[in-house]
Amino acid sequence: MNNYLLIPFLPLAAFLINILFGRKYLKDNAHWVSILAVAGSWVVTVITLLDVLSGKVVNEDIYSWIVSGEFKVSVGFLIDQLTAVMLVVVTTCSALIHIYSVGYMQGDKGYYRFFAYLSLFTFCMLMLVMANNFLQLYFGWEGVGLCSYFLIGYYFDKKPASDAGKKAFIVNRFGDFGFGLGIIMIFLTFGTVYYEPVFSQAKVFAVQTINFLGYDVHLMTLIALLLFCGSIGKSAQMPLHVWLPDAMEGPTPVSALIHAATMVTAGVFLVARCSPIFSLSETALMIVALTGAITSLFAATIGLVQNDIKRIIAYSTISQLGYMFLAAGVGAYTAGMFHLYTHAFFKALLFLCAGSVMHAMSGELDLQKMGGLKKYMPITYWTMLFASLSIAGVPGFAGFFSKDEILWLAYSGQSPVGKFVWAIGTVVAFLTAFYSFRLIFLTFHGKFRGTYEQEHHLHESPKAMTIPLIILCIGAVASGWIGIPHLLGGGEHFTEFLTPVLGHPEAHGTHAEEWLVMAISIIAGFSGVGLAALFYLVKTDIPVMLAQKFNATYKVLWNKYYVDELYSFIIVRPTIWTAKNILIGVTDAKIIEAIVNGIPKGIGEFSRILRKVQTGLLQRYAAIMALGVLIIMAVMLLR
Amino acid sequence: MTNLTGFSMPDLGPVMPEIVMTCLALLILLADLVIKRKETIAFLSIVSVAAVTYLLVGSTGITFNGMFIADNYSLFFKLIFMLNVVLTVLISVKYIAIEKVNFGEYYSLILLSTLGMMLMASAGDLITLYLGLELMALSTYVLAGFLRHDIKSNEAAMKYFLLGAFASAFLLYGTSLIYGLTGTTDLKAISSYISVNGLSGNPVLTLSMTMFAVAFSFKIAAVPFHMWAPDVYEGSPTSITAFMSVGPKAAGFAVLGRVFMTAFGAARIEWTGILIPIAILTMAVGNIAAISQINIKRMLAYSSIAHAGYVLLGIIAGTSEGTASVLNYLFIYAFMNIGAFAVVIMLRSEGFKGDDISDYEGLAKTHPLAAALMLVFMFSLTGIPPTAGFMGKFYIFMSAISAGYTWLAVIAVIFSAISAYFYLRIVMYMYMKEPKAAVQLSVSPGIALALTITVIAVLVIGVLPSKVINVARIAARF
Amino acid sequence: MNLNGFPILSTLIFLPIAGAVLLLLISRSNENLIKWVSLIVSITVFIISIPLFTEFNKSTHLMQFTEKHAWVPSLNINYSLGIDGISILFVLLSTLITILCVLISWNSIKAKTKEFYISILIMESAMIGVFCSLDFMLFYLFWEAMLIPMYLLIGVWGGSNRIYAAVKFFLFTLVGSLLMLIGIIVLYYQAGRTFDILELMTKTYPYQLQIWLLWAFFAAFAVKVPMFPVHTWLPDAHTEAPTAGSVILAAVLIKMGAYGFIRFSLPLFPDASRAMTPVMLTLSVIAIIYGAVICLAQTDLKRLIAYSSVSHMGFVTLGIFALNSQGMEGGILQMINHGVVTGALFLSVGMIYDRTHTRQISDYGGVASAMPVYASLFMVFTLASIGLPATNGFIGEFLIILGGFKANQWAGVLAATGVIIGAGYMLWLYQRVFFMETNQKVAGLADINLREIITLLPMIILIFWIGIYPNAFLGFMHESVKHLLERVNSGSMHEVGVAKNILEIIK
Repeated sequence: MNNYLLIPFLPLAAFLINILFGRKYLKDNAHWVSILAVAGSWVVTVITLLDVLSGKVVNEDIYSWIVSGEFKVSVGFLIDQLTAVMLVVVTTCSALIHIYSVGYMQGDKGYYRFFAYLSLFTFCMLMLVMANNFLQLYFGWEGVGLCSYFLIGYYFDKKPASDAGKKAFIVNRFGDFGFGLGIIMIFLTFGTVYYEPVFSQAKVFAVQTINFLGYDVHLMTLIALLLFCGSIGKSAQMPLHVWLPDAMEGPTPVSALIHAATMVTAGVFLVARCSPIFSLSETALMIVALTGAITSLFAATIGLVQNDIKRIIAYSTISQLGYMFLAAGVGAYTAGMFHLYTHAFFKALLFLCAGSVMHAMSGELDLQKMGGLKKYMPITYWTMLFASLSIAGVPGFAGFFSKDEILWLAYSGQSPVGKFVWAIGTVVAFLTAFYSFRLIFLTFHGKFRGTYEQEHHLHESPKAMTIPLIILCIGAVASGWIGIPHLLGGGEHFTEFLTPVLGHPEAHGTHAEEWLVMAISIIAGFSGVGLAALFYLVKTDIPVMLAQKFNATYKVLWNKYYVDELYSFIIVRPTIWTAKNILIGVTDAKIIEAIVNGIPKGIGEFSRILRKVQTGLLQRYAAIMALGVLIIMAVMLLR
Repeated sequence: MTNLTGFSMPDLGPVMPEIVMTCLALLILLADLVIKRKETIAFLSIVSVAAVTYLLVGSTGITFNGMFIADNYSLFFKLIFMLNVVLTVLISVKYIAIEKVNFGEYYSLILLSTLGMMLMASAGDLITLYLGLELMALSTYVLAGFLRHDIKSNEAAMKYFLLGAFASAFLLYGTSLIYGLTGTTDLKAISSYISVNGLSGNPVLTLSMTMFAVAFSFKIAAVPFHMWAPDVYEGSPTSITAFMSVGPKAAGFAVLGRVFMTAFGAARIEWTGILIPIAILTMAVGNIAAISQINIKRMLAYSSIAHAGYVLLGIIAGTSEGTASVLNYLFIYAFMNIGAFAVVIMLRSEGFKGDDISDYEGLAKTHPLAAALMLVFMFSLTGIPPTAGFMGKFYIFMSAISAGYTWLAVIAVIFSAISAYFYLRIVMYMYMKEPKAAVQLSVSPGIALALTITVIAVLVIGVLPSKVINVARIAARF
Repeated sequence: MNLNGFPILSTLIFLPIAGAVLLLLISRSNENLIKWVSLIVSITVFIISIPLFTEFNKSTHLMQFTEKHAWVPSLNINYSLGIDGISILFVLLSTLITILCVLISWNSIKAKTKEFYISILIMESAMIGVFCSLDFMLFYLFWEAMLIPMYLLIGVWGGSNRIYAAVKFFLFTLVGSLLMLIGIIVLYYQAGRTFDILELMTKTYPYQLQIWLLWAFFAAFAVKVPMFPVHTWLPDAHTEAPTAGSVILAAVLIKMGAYGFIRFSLPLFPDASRAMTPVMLTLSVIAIIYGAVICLAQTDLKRLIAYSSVSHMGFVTLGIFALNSQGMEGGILQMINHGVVTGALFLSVGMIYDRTHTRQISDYGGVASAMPVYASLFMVFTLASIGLPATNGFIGEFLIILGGFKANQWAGVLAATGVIIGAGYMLWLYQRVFFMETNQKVAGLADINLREIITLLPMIILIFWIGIYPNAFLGFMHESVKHLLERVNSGSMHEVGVAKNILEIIK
């Protein structure tokens, strides 16, 4: 039985029902369809997971999708350990966030639309992770991008929202440009785009070089990097990270589901999925690691000074995704996946808590206008606190185990940049703890700094929202426990589970070193929390003073390193300028149209001259005739 | 002097249609004195044409010692002439009444002019040719000036006459030169003399051919001997313009074809050297000058010039295929051009000239049927399928290309594309502009019949050209 | 295979003409009858065309449903019809599009209704004729005959600058096709007096002649496509034409250029085509990027879509001249796709234009609030236009880029940038029209009615049908494309393209 087909197609059915009948018939009951579907998916996922745990791997085609010449690809599914992990993450987070949305979106005029999109997203995401070939992966990949576009721009009547949606889509297209070419290179290299033959043959090409656009390049490096372009876009890594902070214009559940837990991690999933290719190229891995490390540092620094509660979490997401790439880049794919998995819980939770706060604050996002919310919304406070402890890497929480594994494997792995990225990772761990707790302290502690009406309105969120918070909170705390390292007496079950697909990461270090690395990361985490406490609980004038003292730095950070402005300056504006002033203004109007209209005009002029020759004077006519005769005779006789 | 005893009555069979035509034309002139209803005379002239046509089909042969040749070639042309007369008469009846020149000699002049054309088509001797040409020309001069009270018409007749005389002079020069060179005026004899004596390249021959080319170019209104055409076409009664644009032009091509192909066949390379520049100039000037015209008759005059340019390509090809394409084209041209003039005539009503292009504005709204007909003729003149005009042009291009004149065909299509501009302008005025003032149409059964015939012919030949092409191919063998 | 000898193709060609004649007989005041007759005729034609789809034998490259009668025997011109895997889809597209054109014009054409529907029906005949002709003269006849109704459609029922656009359209295409006519005649004599396309294809022609003829044909086809730099008639024509005119132009007419390349240029002049590939690929890539970038600065809805056609047709020609099966099949499919999607976009624009009478993008905004159903359908078309997977646009574009990349890496890479810009201008357009605050001019507009939904529905179905199960359509092409490519690539000249399957190079 192809039970597993229910996993993606239940949400698809829900989408179709909602989009076709939602507006007229379902209206406020639209969520039932979607929730039931995703819950069904979740149940089947669990069954499938059990199958996979018992060693059953599915890889089969459903029907032939595109056939053209030797290019053949089907719609087909692969369910192995890696897929299973993603399935669990996706269906769990999706189900919880669906439920949360019932409370959050209540009364919205596009209620059915929201749930339709959520279901569609779930379908696409599941297609993405369940594909058994690159083209179907690409289908899911673009599909989730589309849903992201829809959901970011959900409040389409607001310009910033529709701008942000568009931006997300287009920026991702840049990444997909490379991704698509990567798929084409894979086909041209292997003659197929199915995972299984590609990965099993990859080694054949380990030393192959190829001429690409006039340059001789290492084939596997080329393919890996082209694929990685896609990851950079989807997972918002530098330099294509710009869309994710803006994506916060979408409803908060969307931020939690798409822009924290699932879609943005697709890039990491892609690298993990293609690990047989990446592993053949040291250069590619190095670039992945460095991209991840630099992005995580870069985003973390921006996160330090922002005041928008969702944007801080967004930068935190970028930063954490960087972490995952850092892991993949040093060959620790399992660690990356582990962090992906824990991150899904605590980051989704953070967003949902932020949503809960917004709910209470009537949509207010500015940290500076909050404060002291702890007493009004205890559940939100506690769950968010646990999430923050998790992300800050406090021992025992999920985030601690995954982050620690990454840092340790970076430090001890084979990668030439391992030590370097470890150092960055550690700094980022400190920064992460700092900004996460800055957020907690500014939001929940101290005095309320908002308006009187806002204060009057403060309340805990409804059950539909808090229950998912609590469930996710359990995940944020406990999900890491299945990957406790041997060092701490754990079984590293997570790594073991994924080993058949991703291989076992190699670590070359002593126990002492491992302890040391762990200690440093713990210290980094705690000092971050401590410093945040100092700045925002005890000596609250320090941040202001620092901002004044290091005004230039502060400004750069506040303005996110001016990347948006840079893009606008070097890409967007020149392109539109060229379109207006060169293509329309010169080539089309002054050159092509000048010729096109010029020739008839010239003929017309000539026609008017001919008309003037026709004077009506008989003598003139006779003279012209005679002249004609003379010329003809002259020519005929003299030649 | 000819020995009288050697005289025997020449075979009159081949020339019988011409004899009958002469008698009928004169009879009609007399009948005008007794018959008051001019429609009856028009009817009689059509009956005459029918009779002549009936005779035409059976009478072939060579007579008068080869001076008169009634072969398939001449037969085809004569059929075009008959068609021309019938259509002209049909569109004339109401028109000349409106113009208040409803006189019977109008019809007999048309018949006499046509008689001239018939002689030209059958001329096997330069003398016969000259006789026919002058008969045709003199009758048309009168017809051109038929609007006695219209100064433009008088001017047209005068110009046509003077320039025509000028052109005739060239014909006579050419004839005398060739007689001096070969000692004969018989086309076949000239041909054999030239080839036997290897005269190709002889300057006198060249000079003579140039003279003929000039004279014939005048008749077909080829550049630079076309100058009369716009003025005469504009000034003449519209029905006569239609008549002239088809009949004399076809007759001109008839003699051009026969003289150059028969008499000067051996010197083909040289006369193509004369005709090619003339053809190119004709297409160029005709098409380009037509663009800036504001009077539709003038525009059609230039259009007619341009079409002569295309037809010249068929002559230049010099093959029987080429001749066939010329015949085919002229036959088609008769329908589409007279059709177009018929619409022009309809716009002429009491007190309204209707020959400005701007008079066509919004015609599709006020008179959709007339506009639709004009649309068909305009597209046919442009040469857009599925109209006959396309088939005509296509066959011409084919023959030119098969004779190796691909480059000439390319030039022709370029000018043909330019021509689209002014033909489409009429369509554009009719369909895409709003009517200025209510235009009255003068419809008569004659015009209706003429339009029916022409539009059906244009569409049917456009879709099923096979018959016409086959007949033309047969007729193209001398 | 002739469906028991039933001349189905002739029926398809002549039924619309018969319909047009019938319309001639109806009094012009009886507008409803005129519309209904047109609709019934177009639907009947479509229904008759369905057996082509179901009875088509996909396992052969040979022409099917053939008919042949002598037409002008003395010149060896035949009335010869038939379709293969390359042309069949276009016949169906033509019959479908005509129905939609009748539907979309239902209320928007108020003047000269009779002439309008006559033009549409004659147009349909000519379109079907072009795709079915197996005789060059017959082909040319239909090819040129289309100019007349199209000229009228643009010039009579078009926008404010319609006359300029109509004349420009007519002259551009006429110049090109007349040069082709010369080429056809030269070919006729070269091949020993035949216009039979299939026979012409079996002959080989001197290389130099091939080059000349290639360019003569190029003149006709490139203008129709339209390729850069002969594209400037298109924005004007599209913009000024009435909705039905734009739809026919976009969906069928401009396909004929690319169809001409496939049907004639490639198999007749294989060596010249291969030699000219670099030029064609360059022009295609320029068209893709040029057309796309220029869209970014458009302020007129229809003009934007028109320029996007230039870009999309650049993809098509790129695919065709990649000279490999992915490119070619992608190209053909993309022609259908573009017909469906751009046709649908023009239909949609027409619907809103009927309500607002403005084409300026800046006059819109927030339409999604006023017309949610319309907005959703338009979104689907937008997505198909930017090649989102699961829509038809993706299949075509992907295969083309794959084929193009195979033929020439730079071509593939540069073409792929067109996909990025495509997303840019289409989403920006969508945003400006449908999102943001509701513009005064669109507030309170009625959402699209049932007739309009029915008009768009076939497009929606096709978009997803082709996107999800493209094999249903690609399957028609395989044999014909294979056969064609064998013909093109069998010449003596060197293999085109740099990157073949790398596996083969290594082995």
